[in-house]
Amino acid sequence: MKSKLGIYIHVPFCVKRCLYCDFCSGIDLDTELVAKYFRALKEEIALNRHIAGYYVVDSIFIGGGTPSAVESGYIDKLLNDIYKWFEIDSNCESTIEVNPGTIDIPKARDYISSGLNRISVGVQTLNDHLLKKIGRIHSAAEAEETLSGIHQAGFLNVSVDLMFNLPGQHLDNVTADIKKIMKYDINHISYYSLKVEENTPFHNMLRNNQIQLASDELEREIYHKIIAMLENKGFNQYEISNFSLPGYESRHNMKYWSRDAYLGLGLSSHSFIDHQRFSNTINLDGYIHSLLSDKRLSRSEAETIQGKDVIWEYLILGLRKTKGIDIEAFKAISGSHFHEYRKILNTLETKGLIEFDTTGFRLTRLGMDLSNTVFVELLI
Amino acid sequence: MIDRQKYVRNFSIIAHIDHGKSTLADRLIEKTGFLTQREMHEQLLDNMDLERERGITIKLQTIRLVYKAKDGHEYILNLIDTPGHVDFHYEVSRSLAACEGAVLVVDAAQGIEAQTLANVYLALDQNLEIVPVINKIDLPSARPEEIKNEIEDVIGLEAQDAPMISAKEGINIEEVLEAIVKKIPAPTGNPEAPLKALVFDSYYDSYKGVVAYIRVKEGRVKKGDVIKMMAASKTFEVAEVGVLGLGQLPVEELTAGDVGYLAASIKDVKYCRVGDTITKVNNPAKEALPGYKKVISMVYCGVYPADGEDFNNIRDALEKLQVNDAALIFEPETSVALGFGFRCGFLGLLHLEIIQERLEREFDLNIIATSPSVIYNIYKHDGTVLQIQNPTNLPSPTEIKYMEEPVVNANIMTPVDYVGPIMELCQNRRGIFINMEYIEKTRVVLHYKLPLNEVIYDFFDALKSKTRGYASLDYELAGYQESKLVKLDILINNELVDAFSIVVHEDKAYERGRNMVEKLKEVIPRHMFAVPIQAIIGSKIIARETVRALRKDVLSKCYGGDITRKKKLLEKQKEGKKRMRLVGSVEVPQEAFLTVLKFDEKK
Repeated sequence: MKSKLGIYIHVPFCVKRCLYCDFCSGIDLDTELVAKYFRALKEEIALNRHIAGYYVVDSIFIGGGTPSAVESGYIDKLLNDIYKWFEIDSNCESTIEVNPGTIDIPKARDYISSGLNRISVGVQTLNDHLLKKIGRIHSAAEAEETLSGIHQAGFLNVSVDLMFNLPGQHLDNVTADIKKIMKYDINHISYYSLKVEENTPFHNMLRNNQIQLASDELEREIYHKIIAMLENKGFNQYEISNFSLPGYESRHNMKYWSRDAYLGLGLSSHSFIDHQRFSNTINLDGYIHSLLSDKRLSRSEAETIQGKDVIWEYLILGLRKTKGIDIEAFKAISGSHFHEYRKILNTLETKGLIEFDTTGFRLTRLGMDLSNTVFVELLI
Repeated sequence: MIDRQKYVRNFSIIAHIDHGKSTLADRLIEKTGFLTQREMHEQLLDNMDLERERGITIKLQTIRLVYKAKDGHEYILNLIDTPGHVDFHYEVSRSLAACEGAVLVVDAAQGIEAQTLANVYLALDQNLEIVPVINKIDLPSARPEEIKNEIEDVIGLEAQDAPMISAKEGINIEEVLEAIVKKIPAPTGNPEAPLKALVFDSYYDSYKGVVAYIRVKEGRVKKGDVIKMMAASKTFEVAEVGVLGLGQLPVEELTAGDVGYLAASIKDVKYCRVGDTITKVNNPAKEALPGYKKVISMVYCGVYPADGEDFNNIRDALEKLQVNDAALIFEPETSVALGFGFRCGFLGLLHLEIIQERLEREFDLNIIATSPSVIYNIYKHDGTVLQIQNPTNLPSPTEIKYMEEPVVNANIMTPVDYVGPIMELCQNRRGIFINMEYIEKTRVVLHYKLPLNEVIYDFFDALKSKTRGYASLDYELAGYQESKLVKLDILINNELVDAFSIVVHEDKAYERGRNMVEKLKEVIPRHMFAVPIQAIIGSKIIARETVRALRKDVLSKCYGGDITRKKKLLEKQKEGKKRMRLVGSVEVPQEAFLTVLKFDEKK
């Protein structure tokens, strides 16, 4: 039987870059540039056809950036190219990320006819003041409009991205966001804590005291409140920052945490195939030039993950999942090193960072708050 | 006088830091035609990077120049370089003892400074002929006539015909050479008398062993002679003697009046101390040359391996440094917080800083140095007296009757404008004002008695910042005085960290303790538990801060499957953890050991 493969396609264009974003995105919507970029993507898909024979694709994720910022025709052609070269599982989960202000009902309908069956909406917050503060282009009302619109268009499988720890955001703002969002028919929530990265406008603003962030204590209080509220609504926390109704875990995300194969297409995308990790260039001109002029992939050198690195990855990715790691599976992965790791895991258990049961081990609540501490200990 | 001596001149150049000693030396070398312009790199004598950066000369370099004077004779000029800092008094005095004269360089703009005077007094002690030279006459702010008067008034030297030069621009260098030939007397000494040669410097060469730089005062020495180091009481067979041109030039023999080098397969620098007298085993000198002193370390600190650095690498490096620096002493010691390391003794704070930097730069070592300390005299109730330089070894307060600390006579030369701030600084540092003398209308010298333990604690930096670098300092040890001293300890998570312990005056203890715990709070990372940091005297807590417990240690979202970036961040975090020192269950970053030493003169 062929192995499963996830495909990620990156669309780096945005109407405007958000103040917190350090991702490879926010590229201006220049018509000619967009056209060139999608031609390059087409070329990249074709250049990857040699691996198509070994896999069947069970997850496609078009992320960004703002994929909904470009005309739906581009998305349609893109998907058709993938269908042309790759074998697609009949049950494939095909997601597109959209941002309010760039999508309407006809566009959503176009997506459905192109074969997309899941949509992820970048809401972030439903507080107008905060939306402005973080540099979003849309209002809360527009976000709510988007949520009802996509449902009307026929999307049944809907995820939203929310953020907390925004500058000036109180616990009350977060609970209000959750209450409002629950009015919509959604089955998945990614709830990320804002982290101010270097080389973002927020980084400078933080340094110049133009914005203030909550203390770690308050940030964690809010996080714990989010978990409690969402679980109360039937949303199960299946990963540190991800929640879903039963059966609606993001297949795309799960591939990252389970070390399953995925192929990244487009600017700055990452791949993990056949024990190798590699990534595409982050230089847009370089990317386009390489594919269109040289007919060549512009990838980094592949790094083969082997030895203890495999075990470490298995642990730090697996422990992000709330169901944790199966002890028998871990024994198989760690082999002769099992006892070394077992020792560390026991120490972490006494510190209250992980917990064991008969089948395996997982992060405790404290362990989730201090996950880096755990991961660093496991690096040996 | 024999002919050979008639055309020899042995001299040093003395100056305050930055008055142009090294530049003048370069010019003299250039003018004597030894080298072409192209071969000269700037500041030829200072060959260590560190010296160039600091603009001071740490290690002596001596060179033999050949000069054809206006009288038509060719003279051999032995230029004996001297270190230019207060810490190296003894070395300077031994270098001067090898000379008949000294060129005194005075900056035409700045005039006489603290170290100018200190060096002049040392030179006068050796009965040297002093040749004043006014340098930097090219500066717009130069006031050479005033400076000449200053030299006459303050030092009492005839200065009206002093060469007025610019070493930087190469102006009037010839006049300096002529003055050296004319004013400085030729060496004397009977070549047929028993050998007496003064060691004024030495360094270790991996092929030749210890190479001594010597001034032959009496007698002669050549290859094959069996010599005796009089203070060290060791005998060696001479393998080579020579003079110091651009490199070492072996010669047949050195005789009375000569300056040169001597190699005798001496394996350990401790058998060839600066100031020792070399004589021959057959026909030995009856008595050694005067002035030999065993160097006394005034400042101590612990040097420990940091960041997984190997203890043995540090020992090797210290041994190598000691070979060229007899003033550096060290012995192994153990710290609860820092593990195995060394207790090192230095001439002064500058010497300490130089050694630390050389360990880091030249040997590429990662070290942690503990707070500098001085030697305290402890008088116990049971009548015994202890000398303690490591605060950790201090007996319990109940056993101590009283304590004494070393004090220094400090001479601070400054423009009048800064007298106020300097007095305030000295008062803060428990200084006792002795008097103030006017050198000229706008400049004074302040005499203070200061505890050495205050001087080693950032005094130079404070002085510099309070006077924008205009004040200069010179000091000499002036015995011990009784003092109300206490041991200040730091507890981290209720455990005493010996590396932070200091001895401090009772009146300063609260401020220092507060300062230290506040700084530690800044640098100690959050742990899974709250970490109390306390400053204590005996069992009394005088300051306390708490590092709150870690509540959050997470990475941001997984960027499109970029696991590599995540791993790199975690690996970096792990690296940071490795650089920590585990004190009990608390990880203390290395910078903590450095930051607490730095004093900020806020108030």
